[in-house]
Amino acid sequence: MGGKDSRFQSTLWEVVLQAKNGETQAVEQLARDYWKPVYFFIRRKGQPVESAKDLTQSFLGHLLEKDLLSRVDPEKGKFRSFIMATLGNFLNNERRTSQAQKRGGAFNFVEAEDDLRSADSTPEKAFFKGWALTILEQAMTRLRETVPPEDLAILEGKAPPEMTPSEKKNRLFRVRGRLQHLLRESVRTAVDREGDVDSELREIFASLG
Amino acid sequence: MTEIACTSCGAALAESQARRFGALCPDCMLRFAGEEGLPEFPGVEIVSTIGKGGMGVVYEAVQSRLGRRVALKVLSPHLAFNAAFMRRFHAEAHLLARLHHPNIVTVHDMGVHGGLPYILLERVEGKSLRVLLKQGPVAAPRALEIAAMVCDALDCAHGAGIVHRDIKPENILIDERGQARLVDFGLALSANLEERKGTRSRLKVGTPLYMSPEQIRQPEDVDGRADLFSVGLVLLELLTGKLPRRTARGPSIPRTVPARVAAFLKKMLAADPRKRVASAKDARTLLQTLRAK
Repeated sequence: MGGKDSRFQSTLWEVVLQAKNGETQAVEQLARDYWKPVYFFIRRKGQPVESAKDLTQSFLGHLLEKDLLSRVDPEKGKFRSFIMATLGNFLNNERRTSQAQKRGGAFNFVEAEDDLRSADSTPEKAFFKGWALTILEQAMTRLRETVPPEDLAILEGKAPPEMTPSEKKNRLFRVRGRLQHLLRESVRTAVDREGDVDSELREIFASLG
Repeated sequence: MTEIACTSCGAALAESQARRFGALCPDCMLRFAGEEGLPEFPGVEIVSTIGKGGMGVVYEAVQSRLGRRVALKVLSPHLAFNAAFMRRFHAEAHLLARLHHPNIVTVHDMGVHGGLPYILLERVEGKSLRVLLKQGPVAAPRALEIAAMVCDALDCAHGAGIVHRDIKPENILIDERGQARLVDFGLALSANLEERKGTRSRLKVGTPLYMSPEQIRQPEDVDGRADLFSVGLVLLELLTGKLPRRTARGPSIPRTVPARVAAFLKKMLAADPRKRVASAKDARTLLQTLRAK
């Protein structure tokens, strides 16, 4: 934990730049981070599951093939907004192309459908929810790697009977602190400026209503 | 598809979600992460937050039985899963317990509760030099007096084989009686071999702005003279209101600084520790001489 995970060392714009230059790892990272919000958006636009799967994969390919990343300008706003706007245009243009080519099966659409059930009904809000869940999923994976299972069990309401309320409270405080830290680390890869990390996190928490 | 209920809100949770997010649904997990809350420790009640640093949070608290105000230092929760951080955190309490000096904050107790390490410290009512510096430079006689008190504290620490390694305006408080109090031994290095295991650490090595050249190069291999360099920088900041420019030949001392004081600072800020004022005791004596003139 002393050293940062290598996943967390590049800023978003560094990753975008690397992806523009065709670096496979960066392209994969962008696809990994944005496929779910993209899928949610498309589903909430009314596309059925199979069509939404194809369109998601097609859009991510389109983004790279058409060199759309070269239009990204950090001065013009969030990368997330850029993706959503580009996706809106893409869907308008591709309305008739339900035969979009598949680009591999790295995305778990079955899981996405499970998550989509709790997502808001508008495409924009669902896009954000998909992004927030991607951030949470990354943080949860690392949380399980670093937090003892007995602490996670307390979170699930399974505290040992001998544990005092204040001990339980502190155990949860510790897990929460770690989870907040990991969420912050995940968000950091998705923003350009350090100053945006906390506001993005607040936006995620606020989106819960 | 197997359905499970979220243990918090009862919402249906798909099996794939339980696997990825745990027994809480994603919304409840995010809600849990976003909650504000305070830890709890036996015998103390937290009143307010005094400050947050890289390693921990300091709360103002009251020891219930004694009705005494204390400073409660708690390791940052996200670090409390790491044995090295836990060791280093408690090393501060052990080092402080060996130091009895009017210019060094007193430690009352330490412990771990619910997996969270904490230290109970004397609550110093006062302001840090950082806060005082916001009002501008400090008059030379008072600045020299403060530096002399810090050197007196360091003489005690160095005599016990402890190098503070993080001397900066934030870590020097001026109490209500005008006395300087040295706080935050969280990065201190002990010469004692047993303690050294806990205090030798690459985790964090101090505030670069105030570090001596040798501390920047070899943070784990410094002696008390590294602290003296930092005191020199703090003194210069007190006199001028800002940190000096660091050039290849060392920090530049503005001409506005009186010649005798500048000569002293030059010796405190020598890049080569062998050419620096030799000890905190010598530095204090020189400061007292300067004040008398």
